[in-house]
Amino acid sequence: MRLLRPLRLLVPLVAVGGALVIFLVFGFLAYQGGTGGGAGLVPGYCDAGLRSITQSGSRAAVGDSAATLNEEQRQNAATIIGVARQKGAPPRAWLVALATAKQESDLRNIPYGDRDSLGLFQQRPSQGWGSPAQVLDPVYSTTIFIDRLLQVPNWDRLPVTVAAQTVQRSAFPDAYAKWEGLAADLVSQLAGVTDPAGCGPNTATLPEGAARGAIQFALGEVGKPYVWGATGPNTYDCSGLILRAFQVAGIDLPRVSWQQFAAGGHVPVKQAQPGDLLFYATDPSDPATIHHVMLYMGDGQMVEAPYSGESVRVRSVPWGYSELVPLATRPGTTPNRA
Amino acid sequence: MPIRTPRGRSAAYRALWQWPLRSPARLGLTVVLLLAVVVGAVAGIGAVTVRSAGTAVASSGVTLTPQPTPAGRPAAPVTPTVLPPVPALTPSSLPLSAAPNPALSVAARWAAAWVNHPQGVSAQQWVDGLRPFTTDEYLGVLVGVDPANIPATRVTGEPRATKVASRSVQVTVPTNALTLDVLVVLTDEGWRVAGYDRVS
Repeated sequence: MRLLRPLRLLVPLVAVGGALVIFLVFGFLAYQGGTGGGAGLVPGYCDAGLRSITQSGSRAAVGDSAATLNEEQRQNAATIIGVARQKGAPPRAWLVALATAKQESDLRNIPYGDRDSLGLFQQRPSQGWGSPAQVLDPVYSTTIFIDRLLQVPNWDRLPVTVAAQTVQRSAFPDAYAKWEGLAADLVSQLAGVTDPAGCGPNTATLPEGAARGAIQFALGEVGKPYVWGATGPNTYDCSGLILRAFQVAGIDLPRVSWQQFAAGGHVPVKQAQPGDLLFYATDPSDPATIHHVMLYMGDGQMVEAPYSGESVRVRSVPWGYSELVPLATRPGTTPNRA
Repeated sequence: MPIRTPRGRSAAYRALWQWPLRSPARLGLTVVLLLAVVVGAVAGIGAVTVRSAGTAVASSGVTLTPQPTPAGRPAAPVTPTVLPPVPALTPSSLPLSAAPNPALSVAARWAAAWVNHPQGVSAQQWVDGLRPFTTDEYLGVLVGVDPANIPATRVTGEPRATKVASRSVQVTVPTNALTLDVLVVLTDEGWRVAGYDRVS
């Protein structure tokens, strides 16, 4: 016993050291959790639609990258970012503003447009956007765009093109989607924002717990009626149910089923895992004809909001059905077109 | 200089931290030991995190247990990987002359409803005009349009197919302000518009 007595000296050291270890480990874990979705524009959320555009280039217009813009366009992009940043708007708002201005004016501050539309965002003085001189001032036009964007409920969880259209109410509602890839590129090139989609590095699997979270959400909605155009909480259409289920799991999907098909990597349906999306199309070789989306639960089961007159339900996957699209989508994973 | 007694706790600590300072050899030994401890700790933490990332890959998705999940954010990013590449789905395209007439006619009637926005028409009335020719899903997108922002007022020519597959046809329709590029697909209810843009 006497021999061990000097060890009493270590008690304070061990206490201090132990506290330090606990502190560091918790800090490390919190840091890991905080950056879990990558350095995305909305912390912790993965915009699966934006990732599929920025990484596959499938829907992006030809040759649209920050490098192909001319000096005037780059200047205007920098102005938009600068004004939005100074207003304290987060980077996702810059991205929405850039995609909007690219579609409306090709990022040029034009003194003409359809009827009385003017400037970078083609704002119309007759529709309450300001005087002609004001909407031709890039600082003013960006400011009022950002102001109205930030008033849209949940604007930072909406797909970029939906957020833009909610502000603009344009005659071409999903035209902004073409420029999401370019806008993401500009935000990273001109402002150094990494991973604008927030889905993290390349992945082949859903984040841990995401599949379970989405499936459990959908199972909790079983029995609620199908109503077209509905996204909950009391009624759903097929893509609306999927949208909400993955929102709960931290993954933001586009609104419409054929867009959801494009929002991630693909696997042959027979290799589907729980959390993957299955689709019906009138021509299963033609994604444009996709009209229904279902959530695969594993063991040959799926949960879906089927059609008018039915309710959200669990069914066996009809593997032999002629409309079943041969590829399943794993939302938010890296696109893998051969 | 305060008197330092060779007894008691503080003397014992003093003996400990002064031990390395008694000779250069002791100092060297101490430095080597400290370095070894630091390197070992870093390597240990690294090994633990790599292993947990590995199990995350192995276990994600394949389990379905009835325990509640923490809703909110995805877990830490796993090792960078991509699914094995699969060929994109591409419908076999048909000659433009094979475009079914009902598809072209739906595109034309849809375009006629699209340009029909007399002064004071409500967004709902305008969407109601498009409803018979539009897929249910896409109607949800059209409700966001302010008809007052539609630049065209009349259709000025015949619909023309630009890309034809067995159940989807891309059709252009000229108007007095721009040319519409309309996607028409075959649904259970017949041909319906599922998307459009302007020809740039």
